[in-house]
Amino acid sequence: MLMKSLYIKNFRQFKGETTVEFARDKEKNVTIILGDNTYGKTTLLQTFNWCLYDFVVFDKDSNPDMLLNLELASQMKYGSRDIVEVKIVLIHKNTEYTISRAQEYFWTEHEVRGEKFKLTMSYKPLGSDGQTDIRGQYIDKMINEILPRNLSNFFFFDTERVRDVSNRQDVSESVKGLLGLTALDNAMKHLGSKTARTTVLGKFYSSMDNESNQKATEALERINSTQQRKASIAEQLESLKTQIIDYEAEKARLDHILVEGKSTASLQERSLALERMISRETDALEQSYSKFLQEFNGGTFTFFAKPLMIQALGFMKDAKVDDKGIKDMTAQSIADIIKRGTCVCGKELVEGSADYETILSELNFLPPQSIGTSIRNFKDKIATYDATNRHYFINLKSRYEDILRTKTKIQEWQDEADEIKGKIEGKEDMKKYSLKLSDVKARLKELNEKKERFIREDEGCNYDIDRFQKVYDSLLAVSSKNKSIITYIRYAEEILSWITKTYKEKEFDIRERLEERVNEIFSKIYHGHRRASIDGKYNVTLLTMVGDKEIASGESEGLNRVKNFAFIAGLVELAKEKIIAIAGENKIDLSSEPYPLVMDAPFSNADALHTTNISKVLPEVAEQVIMFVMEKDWLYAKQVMDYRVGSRWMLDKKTDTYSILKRSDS
Amino acid sequence: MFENDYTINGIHATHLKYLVNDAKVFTRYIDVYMIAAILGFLHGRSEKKDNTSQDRARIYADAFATERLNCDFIYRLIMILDGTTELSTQQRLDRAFRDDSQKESELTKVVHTQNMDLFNSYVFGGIEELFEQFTNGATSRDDYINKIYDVAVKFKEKMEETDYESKLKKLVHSN
Amino acid sequence: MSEIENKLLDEKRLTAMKVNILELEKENLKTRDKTNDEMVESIRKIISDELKKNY
Repeated sequence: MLMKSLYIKNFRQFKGETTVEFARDKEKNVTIILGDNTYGKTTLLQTFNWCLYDFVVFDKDSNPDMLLNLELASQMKYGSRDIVEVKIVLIHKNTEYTISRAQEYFWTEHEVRGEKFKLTMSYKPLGSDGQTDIRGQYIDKMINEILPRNLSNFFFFDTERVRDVSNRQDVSESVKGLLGLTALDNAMKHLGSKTARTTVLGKFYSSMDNESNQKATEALERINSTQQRKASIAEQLESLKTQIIDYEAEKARLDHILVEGKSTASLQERSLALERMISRETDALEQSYSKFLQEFNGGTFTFFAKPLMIQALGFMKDAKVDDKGIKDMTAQSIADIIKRGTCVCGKELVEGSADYETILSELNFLPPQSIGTSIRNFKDKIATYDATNRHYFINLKSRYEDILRTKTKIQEWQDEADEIKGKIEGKEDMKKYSLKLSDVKARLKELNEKKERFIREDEGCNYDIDRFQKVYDSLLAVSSKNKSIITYIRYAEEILSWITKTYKEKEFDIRERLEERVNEIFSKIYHGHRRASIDGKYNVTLLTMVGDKEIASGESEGLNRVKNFAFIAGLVELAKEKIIAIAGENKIDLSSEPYPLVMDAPFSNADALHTTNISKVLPEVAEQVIMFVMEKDWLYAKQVMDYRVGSRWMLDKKTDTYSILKRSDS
Repeated sequence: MFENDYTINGIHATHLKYLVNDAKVFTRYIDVYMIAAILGFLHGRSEKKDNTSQDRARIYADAFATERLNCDFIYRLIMILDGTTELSTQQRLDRAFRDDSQKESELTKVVHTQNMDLFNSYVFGGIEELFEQFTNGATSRDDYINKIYDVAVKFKEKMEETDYESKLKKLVHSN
Repeated sequence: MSEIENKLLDEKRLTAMKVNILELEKENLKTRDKTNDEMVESIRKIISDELKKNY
């Protein structure tokens, strides 16, 4: 990904319109932005964060939510509106992307407020003309495929923030996130230890003593808190109902306006046709649901009983059972034959005769005398069920897939129908009402869904209260519970030790690789006798050999910057590998994409020695570099680096609330 | 056994009715009864009869008659496999195949009642499992169906012992 | 007590627990739905449910 240009309108101290174009040429790939600290460098970095990911990091005291330039804000009157916008044009895989986020601010009686932002994104292949829009719901996904949010702060690196000690924690957490260790880390924290009462092990351990008392108290607390929750839900439902009524009224009003607007005949036709198709398909969906449930109800218990049937066969194999009865013959059958007086074969049965005794002896193999017969029947039954089982899941799956197919069709047609609805109102003013109507409908949907959720939650609360009441009323025997808990603890401890081992291995491996990279880059810039070492908190120390020991030696300002630069560059390389690996999982072409590096210049006039080497190393570290430089440092570095620079800009701070950014010829 | 009407009480009745009438996941009460017995036993979950509300659900004798063979089968399965008492192998087989077929002596009547209580305690536990698994968080027809399919797929995977080892490796080494 | 300690841990159940716990942690990183207390409770349930199962 390479940056092409950045357009800023009224964002914080950048009043008015500002456009920055970045150098992309292979030989001249450095863009420099001159300016001292506090001139607007941090704000510039935040424009990327806001546009791409909708977040900014500003000091709490500097009113971080107010993005509109303060001078403009103070001049606003009733009715006036101003727009804050950031537009980024970037190039990725031979396609040019334009991303724009805009937010409108307006004046109410009390304050200046920002409305919801509008985010758009479009693309065109390099060298062609037509722009294609990307649908709203896909924009965030697209952005994260080009540059994932959790990796972005390595490419847009705010050195000033990192220098501040309290922010070291951020770096260490970000690096862990980058390396995929956070899930393991969290799992370890959650599993905890026997003595940490809020962790899994702690809870298991402490639940062994005074189990019943503790459980009873807990249950009582849960009952109380759930009842409080019910009360709060009731309140919120009331307020929701009022809001819904208001919005319904507004919707009716807008519907009326739109109906009277002009519409295009053929679009109208298509819209109606789609409605018919959707309604037909929705009926079909209902059918599919029924078929699915039918299938489900048909064979479910035998499906779930399968493992039990296998176990039962095993059990009976081990037990010796006689199998000598005749299938489906019962004691009652024999009694009936005897009563009848004639055997099945036709012979007369006289009490006391040999035949009579033979038939009676058959009773030995029937319930209740012998259970062999029942067992035979039972085993046969298992075999029958096994046969039906084979088809159950296949049928269920195919019915489910039918449902998915139908749902997709309905969704596609619905999307088209919505689009058409938007187009039908062609005139400028109709568009506005149509947009407004969409907003109102969306809001209504939100509110109704919220209402449903609250109603369900309330039902859930009732169920919970019942449940905990039962628990509270019963006290379980402690000793048998303890046995199970001891087993839980053993398993939990085993899992914890496995996760700890895995985490350590992974983390150590990656920290090694990072150290390697950092040293590779460092040694290209600095030809002295030092080596960079990275500790567990991702602090970088420079070590030098004194005698036969390695000790940390003092660093000059310049050397410090070189060290930071090497560290960031090493992280960026690992981050790039990560992006390529993620892309690999999504089956996208694995070719190596270039990425930019935005950071403070890694040199100062104090350490002249390194500047030449840095200018040689830069193209190896990143394909595009955007550097913030202080004027005094550039005056010196210019002689050595100017041949690489393709674009020069200057930050000029007019007042605390107004800065400008313009091209520089220096 | 399974010859008369059977009434389920309290919260279990409420949930049983919910599964059939509201969520419409099952067609008849007897369907829930059978599947609850299996699921309750699979998860080792048994519950006592519930008396906290006046709610009731009745399964009629003719429903049992239609499903008699299946109910007998499930009963035998559980009586063979249940390990929560101190019975020997032979005693378990007797319990499964013999105790139900003669109801003459008082002793066998008592034993049979105990067995049915055990069976029904798994039914109650199974009803709770069903209620939690199939309805937790679901509000629409679509939700219920997705949940059902999900439960069935997960169970099938477990049965086929899909390679858990490689799944674990993948989790550790991915982002 | 000693009869319990001598029983070996079931490898299959252990692996199933590890898979479920890690999947839960990764999902929560994405959605940030559950608090720490809720996560601890869910993990407890994963372990005890797996051991209660009869299959």
